[in-house]
Amino acid sequence: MLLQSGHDTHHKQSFFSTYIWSEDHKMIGKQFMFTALLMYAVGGLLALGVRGQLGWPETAGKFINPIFGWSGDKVPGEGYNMLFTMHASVMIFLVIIPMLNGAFANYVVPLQIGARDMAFPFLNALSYWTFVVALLVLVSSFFVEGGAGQGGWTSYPPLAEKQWSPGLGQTLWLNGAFLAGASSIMGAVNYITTIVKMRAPGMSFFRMPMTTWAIFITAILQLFSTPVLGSALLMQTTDRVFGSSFFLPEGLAVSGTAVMGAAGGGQVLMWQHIFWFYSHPAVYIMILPAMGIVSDVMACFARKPIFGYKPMIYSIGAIAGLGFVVWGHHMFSSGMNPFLAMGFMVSTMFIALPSAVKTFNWLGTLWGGQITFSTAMLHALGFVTMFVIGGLSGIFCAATSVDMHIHDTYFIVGHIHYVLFGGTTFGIFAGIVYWFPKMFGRHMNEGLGKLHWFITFVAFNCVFFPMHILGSQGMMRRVADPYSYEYLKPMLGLNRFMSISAFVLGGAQLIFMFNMLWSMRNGKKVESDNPWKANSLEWQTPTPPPHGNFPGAVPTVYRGPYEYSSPQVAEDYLPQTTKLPGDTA
Amino acid sequence: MMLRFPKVLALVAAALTTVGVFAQAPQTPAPTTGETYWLPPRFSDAFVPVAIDDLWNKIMVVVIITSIVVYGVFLWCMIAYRKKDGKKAQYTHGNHTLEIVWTIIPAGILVWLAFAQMPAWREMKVPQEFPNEANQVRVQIFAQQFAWNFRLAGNDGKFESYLPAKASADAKKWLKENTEGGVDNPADPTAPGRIFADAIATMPKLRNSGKYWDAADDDDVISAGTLIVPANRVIRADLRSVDVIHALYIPSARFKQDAVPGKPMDIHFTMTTVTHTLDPKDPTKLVAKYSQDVWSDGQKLEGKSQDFYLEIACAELCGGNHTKMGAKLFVLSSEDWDRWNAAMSSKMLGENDRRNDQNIWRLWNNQDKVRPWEKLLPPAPKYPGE
Ligand code: HEM
Ligand SMILES: [Cu+2]
Ligand SMILES: [Cu+2]
Repeated sequence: MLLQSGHDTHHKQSFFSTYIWSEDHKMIGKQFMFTALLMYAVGGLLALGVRGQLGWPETAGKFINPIFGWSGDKVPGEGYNMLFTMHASVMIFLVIIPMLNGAFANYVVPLQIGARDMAFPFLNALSYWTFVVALLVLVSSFFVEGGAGQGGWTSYPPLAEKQWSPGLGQTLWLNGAFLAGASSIMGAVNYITTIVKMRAPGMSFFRMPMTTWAIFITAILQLFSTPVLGSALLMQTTDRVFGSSFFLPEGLAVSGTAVMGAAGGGQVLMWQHIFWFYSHPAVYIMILPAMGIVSDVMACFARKPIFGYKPMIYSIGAIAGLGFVVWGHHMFSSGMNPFLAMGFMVSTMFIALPSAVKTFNWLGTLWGGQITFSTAMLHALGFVTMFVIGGLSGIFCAATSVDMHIHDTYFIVGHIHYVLFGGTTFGIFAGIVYWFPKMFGRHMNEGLGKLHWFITFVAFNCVFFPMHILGSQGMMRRVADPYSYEYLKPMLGLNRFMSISAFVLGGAQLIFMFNMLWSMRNGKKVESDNPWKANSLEWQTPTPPPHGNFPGAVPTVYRGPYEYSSPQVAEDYLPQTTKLPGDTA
Repeated sequence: MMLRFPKVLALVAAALTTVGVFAQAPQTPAPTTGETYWLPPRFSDAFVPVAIDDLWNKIMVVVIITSIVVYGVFLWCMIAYRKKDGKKAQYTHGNHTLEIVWTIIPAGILVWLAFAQMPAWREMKVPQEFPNEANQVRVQIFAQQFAWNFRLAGNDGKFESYLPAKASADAKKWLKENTEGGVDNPADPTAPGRIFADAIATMPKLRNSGKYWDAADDDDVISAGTLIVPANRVIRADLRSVDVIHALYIPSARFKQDAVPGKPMDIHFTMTTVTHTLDPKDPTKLVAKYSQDVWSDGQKLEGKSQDFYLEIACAELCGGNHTKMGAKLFVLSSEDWDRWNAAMSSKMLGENDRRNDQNIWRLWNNQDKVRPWEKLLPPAPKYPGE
């Protein structure tokens, strides 16, 4: 189709243009992947700091304080706020979003649609390096006077305004998130253009694999919502740096002294509206691609066509569309107009529906399959089972009156982690294990892979399931020492159990990292270009794919990607490129 | 190395059961009401908390049934559809009837839920009628980093006004000219006076009265950190924050509302379980009715107990000492509360000089604004004396 010339010529690449400023989507994908994995370690360590404090509030400081140079025996409240703020920010902006919409989108999409590269290779490289700058800005905030941001990943004003958070850290947080957003937007433009304009002959929209579909819809979500976040971040930045007062009403005080300087006249809740206008779509940005990945993996290892391919796509579309009108469900207790809240409640109920439909479709895909429990499949099954819990806990949150009790408690923290760790992170693991042979020509070790999966699955549940119980008992989130409340004192034992499980969970991730690095050199070599006997285009090209992806002409596509166990052929798979008698593109 | 999937799930189930054993609710000697999954003891049988618990239970039933169905089917797939050599999977792309059924059933449940959660929400936010006004207690709640300040109107049923914290030269002049010269507020000369000027401008009544602080008849009962309320009366509070967002959270009454600076909130809740009585000799002193266990480092200290009281928490991150922002909630019987209030109020009258610059209440009137949707509420009964 269009825009495809020029990439199949193999020009000699220098070290710099191969590994640093590479404009090849596959290298950029790997760059995103390794950077995000590094950040996964950073975010994970921050989480262990949080868990350490919650498990041993009296002693954790002895271990944590020296690392950050905080004084005293106990972790200071500000320090604790820094830990969870940066944990969430790192995981969201530097791990999940770049992993799904940087690594997988880059590596997989052009291969799956039969394109030779992204539409805008330069923009693609720029997107990665903008992300690196964002990362440096966010991480550097730990080293400035006053430390990193302390307002939570939601950074609600007035707390995040300079009068209450005077340090440079919060400004760096705003700038870092802004740059991460810019990187996201560049990526989104690229994926949309590539998917719309550069599909191989015969690759109609409804022959695209679910991963590509999900990333396509996600990119649209990103394109429309991220600029809104950007403007919110800018407004808070000007409040902090230039003394405007977008989010500051008049008449406030710091430690009993009236705040002057700010003109006042701002609206505190406006931030929440704008922020969640982005951040609710963002939670879908953080899961839709993973849904696509597990759909591909499940079809492959159940040897069965996806159950309800089109309904699955429509569900993703519906989730994305409705995702723009549910943001207020994060604000039920904020005191916004109660009639508006009813509207958000109704739209939230609606959005739960496509999530349910997708789950049933996954079950339908398993039903009657021939299931192999490979590591990738185990992770995909982990996704489905855990996502169910996350979706169901969402129903409690969506019922306004019930949400009054659980809002801002650990119940919400439980909900988030069942969708983002139990869901998305398992999806990421599934994707890495699944495409690893294509990326590196070797398999990841299955034994280590299963061990990692097993420990992660069990420890994950031990860390996060009890959060629902703690939350319903009334334990607030973002509280450094919950046991300063009488009614929460008995919760220490359970918290300690969760913290211990969290350390096990963290340790298990080392197995994964080791497995990846070890397997890149020593893993079992792939015996064919299509080791999983899958149908989509990325498996119908050499391993690893050459610059330009497909030697010779780009392949022609004759059917959808899920023709597993088709009666038309003897084998249990039928690649999209196989031309049977009577097939036309 | 191949792990059998059902075994894995059995292990997970075992782990979760262990967790369940850990997770028993704390033992409180005070009466609890209602049977709920996981929720903490409830100390209010008012409509809203009861409705919340009730809905919670119903959602829990839906969730458990859904889980059993979904995990049942899932486990069946894991067992029945394991790979067998030489066999092919069913070749199907979907089933419309099935898909319609599994869209309609959850849709029905969600529509039910949308309606089921409305009564409590309406009662919480847009009460159709408050019980008669005599049955209401007005409270002003002022949140600040990191404390809850409570003010009751006292015997005269009227909240006395306060001088805003900083007075500009202009404002001071105005005050000098328009009052009996009672301003001895050591205004900070560096502080512009706009807060004060705004306050004056928005308080015509105050301005016209020529008085801005009724020292002589100030009998407001003020406390930081403890809220004392009567049982079975509507506690109608004006909730404000002077700095960042806080959230007033009463787990035992399933109540939560953010305190948003610049946006006064008209909130109400009702407690029904009495936790304290009055000292027969001194009606300003409270005596706990129940005791509770003493916990330290996750251990119950055997043989030790302490006075039982309810807690108010801050649920919205508000800064470094967010975790310390708790308050106590004491519930008296209605008659006891009236006696206590009268005694406290008389004790307060004229005794306390609140012109101190540090007094947080001086900033209260800076936020006298009405929410736009207030119009939708039934006309608010006026503060007596207003
Ligand atoms: C079944 C569908 C879902 C429903 C009905 C739902 C509902 C809700 C509601 C009402 C809240 C606000 C709760 C509160 O703060 O009081 C919430 C929070 C949240 N949800 Fe969901 N949710 C669903 C699925 C998801 C998915 C798929 C994700 C992400 C992958 C997600 C991620 C989050 C996050 C990150 C928060 C918390 C944000 C924060 O306060 O930090 N949810 N959800
Ligand atoms: Cu949301
Ligand atoms: Cu707080």
